[in-house]
Amino acid sequence: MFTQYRFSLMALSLFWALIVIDFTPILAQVGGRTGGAQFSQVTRLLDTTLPTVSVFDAQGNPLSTASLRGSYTVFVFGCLT
Amino acid sequence: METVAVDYAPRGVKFYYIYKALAHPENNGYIQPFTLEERLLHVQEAKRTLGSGIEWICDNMDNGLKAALGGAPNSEFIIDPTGKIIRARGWSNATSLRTDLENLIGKVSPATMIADLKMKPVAPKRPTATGIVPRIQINSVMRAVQVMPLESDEPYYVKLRVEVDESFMNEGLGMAYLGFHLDPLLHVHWNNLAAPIQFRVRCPVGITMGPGAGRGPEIKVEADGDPREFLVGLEWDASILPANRLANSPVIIEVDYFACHDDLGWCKPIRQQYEVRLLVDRNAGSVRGRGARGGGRRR
Repeated sequence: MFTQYRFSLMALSLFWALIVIDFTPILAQVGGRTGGAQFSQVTRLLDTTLPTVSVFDAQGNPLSTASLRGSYTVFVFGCLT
Repeated sequence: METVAVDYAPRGVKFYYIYKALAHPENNGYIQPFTLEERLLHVQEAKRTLGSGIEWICDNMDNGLKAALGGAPNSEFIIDPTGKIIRARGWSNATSLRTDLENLIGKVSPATMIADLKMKPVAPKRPTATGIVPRIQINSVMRAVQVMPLESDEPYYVKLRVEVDESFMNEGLGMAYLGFHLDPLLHVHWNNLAAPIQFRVRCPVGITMGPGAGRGPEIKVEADGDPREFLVGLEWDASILPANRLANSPVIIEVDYFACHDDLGWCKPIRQQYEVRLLVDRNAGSVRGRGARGGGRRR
């Protein structure tokens, strides 16, 4: 039971991710954004068209996001850590 | 999202996880890939460990889709059939996603529960012995900078992570962390019967890194998978090398090490070079809990 719970937690936490801390002076020319700023960058995309970007399927075949139109589609970003 | 996908995929909704750069390198020993092929290995590992049936899309190595969709690490979108983004969340929320789809498509009753899925996530594989070489303890806030591998006939079994401290960022004088990490998905380990890892630094005029060479510790066990880490001094003289030339003035770090691949039955010396640009790498992620045995935070 505990093991199952632990794995479920592991699965859920797979998508824990980065909140970028920013510094301004020397490296400010390329500094990152804060987490809050990132979120606003996301929400401002509402009602815009999905950008056309060349990506890959899980086998490494090229894929354009434009080819995903035609039905309701859900994207969730994630990674191993 | 798994339960929502089970309920709504039969109703024509497509679900994709978008695999992006690691948010927290070193967690469970995973480190940032250098190539698309290596990122695809991450995708396979994510499928294996999560046990999910949802399809994955792999972002390109310029992180183009992540950038185009706002750059947040765990964002969530619903796109309508015409390609318009009709929901955009900075952080994924399965409950809100289900509510959205109920409003768009209709309610599914009874809703699938996580326990119904019988998912079989598996634990990440542990590399060869870890916790052998003490990790460097860093008290300062560090920021990763850009590292690119130079051309090599061999995969980069060892990936270099470079971080600079706050003092360098503020004043141009501080410390740099050089971490040589074995990629667990390439299944090699250090050969401690041979000479330890060695590196040499070649800096552009205006940048000084010292010491300009280093050698890893002699380890008594035959093999291990711990990172080899160094702290070096770092100075940038902006009067000699203006900021607008930093991007074109990389530090070159050359490394020699011996690696072994037990499954393939080889041990060999490898020499490779990395280009380091002293510019913040927005996609490098942040390391949590450096110094934990075998890498960053474990779950």
